[in-house]
Amino acid sequence: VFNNADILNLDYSVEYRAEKATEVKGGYLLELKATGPAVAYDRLKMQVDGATLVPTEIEAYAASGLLIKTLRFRDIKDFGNGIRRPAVLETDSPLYKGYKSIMLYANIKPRKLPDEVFSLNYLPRAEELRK
Amino acid sequence: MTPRAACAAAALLLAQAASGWAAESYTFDASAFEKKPFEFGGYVEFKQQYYDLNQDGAIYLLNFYNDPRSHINESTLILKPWGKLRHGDTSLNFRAHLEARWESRGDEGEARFDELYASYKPDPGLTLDAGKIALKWGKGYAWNPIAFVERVKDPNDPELAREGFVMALADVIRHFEGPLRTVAFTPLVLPANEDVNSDFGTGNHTNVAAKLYFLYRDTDIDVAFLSQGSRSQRWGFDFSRNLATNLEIHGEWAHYDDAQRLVTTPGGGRAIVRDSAQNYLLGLRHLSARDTTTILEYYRNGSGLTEGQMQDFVRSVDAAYAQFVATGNDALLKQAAAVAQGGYGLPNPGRSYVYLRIAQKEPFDILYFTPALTVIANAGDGSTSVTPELLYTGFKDVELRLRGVFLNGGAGTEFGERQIASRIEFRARLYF
Repeated sequence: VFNNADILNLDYSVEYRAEKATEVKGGYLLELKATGPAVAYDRLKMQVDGATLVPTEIEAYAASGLLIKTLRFRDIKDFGNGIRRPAVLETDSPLYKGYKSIMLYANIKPRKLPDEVFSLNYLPRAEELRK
Repeated sequence: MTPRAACAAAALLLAQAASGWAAESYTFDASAFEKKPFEFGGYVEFKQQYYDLNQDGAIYLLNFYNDPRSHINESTLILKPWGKLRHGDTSLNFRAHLEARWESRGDEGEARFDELYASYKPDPGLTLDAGKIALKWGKGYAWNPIAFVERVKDPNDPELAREGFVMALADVIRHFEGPLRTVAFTPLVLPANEDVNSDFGTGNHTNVAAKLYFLYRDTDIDVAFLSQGSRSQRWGFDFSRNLATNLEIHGEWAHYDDAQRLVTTPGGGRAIVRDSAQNYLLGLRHLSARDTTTILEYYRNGSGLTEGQMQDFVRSVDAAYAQFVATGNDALLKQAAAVAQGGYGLPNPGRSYVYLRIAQKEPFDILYFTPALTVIANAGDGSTSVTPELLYTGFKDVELRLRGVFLNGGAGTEFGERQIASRIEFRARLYF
């Protein structure tokens, strides 16, 4: 119940603009509108944790107003090295009732990688980057 | 070299679960995903195929003139293991192919390494490989005119892993700031003689090929070259660019100095036609908001057979078959079969083709289910191959595929003269 637009291929600050920001208990509720037609979801309702300023829940809507899916970010933890982020991402969708996808993150560590690894030629060997 | 922070050490696990389960109940051992000295995997595949034979087709007559039948049932069992043994910057890699086929006319088996090579990677910008390697050159999905050192892709199943050739290659990658972001150079040496790569071409040669890759203003560009040797000299280029996040355009163009083909003459004889040729391809790939993937390609096979040459071949087969029926002499049929092996009987021997594939991920809210429709049309004679398929991956480590292949075309056309009229295939894979 997820695709690349949910986890990898996105940059909220570029692809969306905030139409409304409301203070709610524990943080903020942002109502976001897509800046162009090339993004996966036309509107987002994003709840943001006030202390860490990371999203805790995102409802993704189509242009018609249909709720396509909900992303829930849980277990915000300090991974060290200044990385503080959710360790669990759950997604569910009214389009796929009875199912959910769960992604667990662990052992996140910063590494410096040469730019050459971000190339088409290196892509088939990307598994070699594992420690 | 620009320092870049990356969280590449992150390990993640995706779990599909019935709703209501608490996320906190999931744990996983990140060390299970760490690089190991030896890794092993692969799949075992069972395939059952029913062929409805085209008893009027020229290729059918060549293969079944002394054993006529209306259909064939074929069962296939394939084991495709792969493995990697690492030591420092060096690894030994293999991908094997073990196959057994049972068919009413007889049984066959095959065992080979698709790949078996040693790899040395002293740093991410340099790789040296030696052994049997399967390359993937070109940007086309169904055809690759610049795939100069590969076995031919099957347009009916373009994503099937193919057997490689024995070669030694280097891969050098360099990154730059500015409009030209990446340059990669891949030179290789490929020996071919009676003992090594004997099916690569003719004679005893040490073939040299190279590919130069650029990422320029977000456009992927390759320039490729193969020296005169076992095959004629050829060179070309490809490109790929995203016009939007969900729309990609790609193309390839190749020049062949000397393209040879064995043809049937209007008088029924055989002749070798030699000429230079240009092969090219232009394609689009689109992903809709509803997860519909559409791939559309046009392929010009300049070294292919003309419609006239195809029709001359069909007439020669008809005449040879008539002689066999009248006299029992199959000499002409055997001659025609030899010509067919050189071109007419191969996949897509004609000059121009259109390829269209539409795949819909999880329609009607059915998870793990992807139906698709593929059409390959010979743009010269209007004949077509239509392939509907259903893919299901809802069982752990299992992939199930049901597909039909239906060939349409009149007398004298490519798909109208094929050996089969239709084929139903069921394929089950278990990954390990």
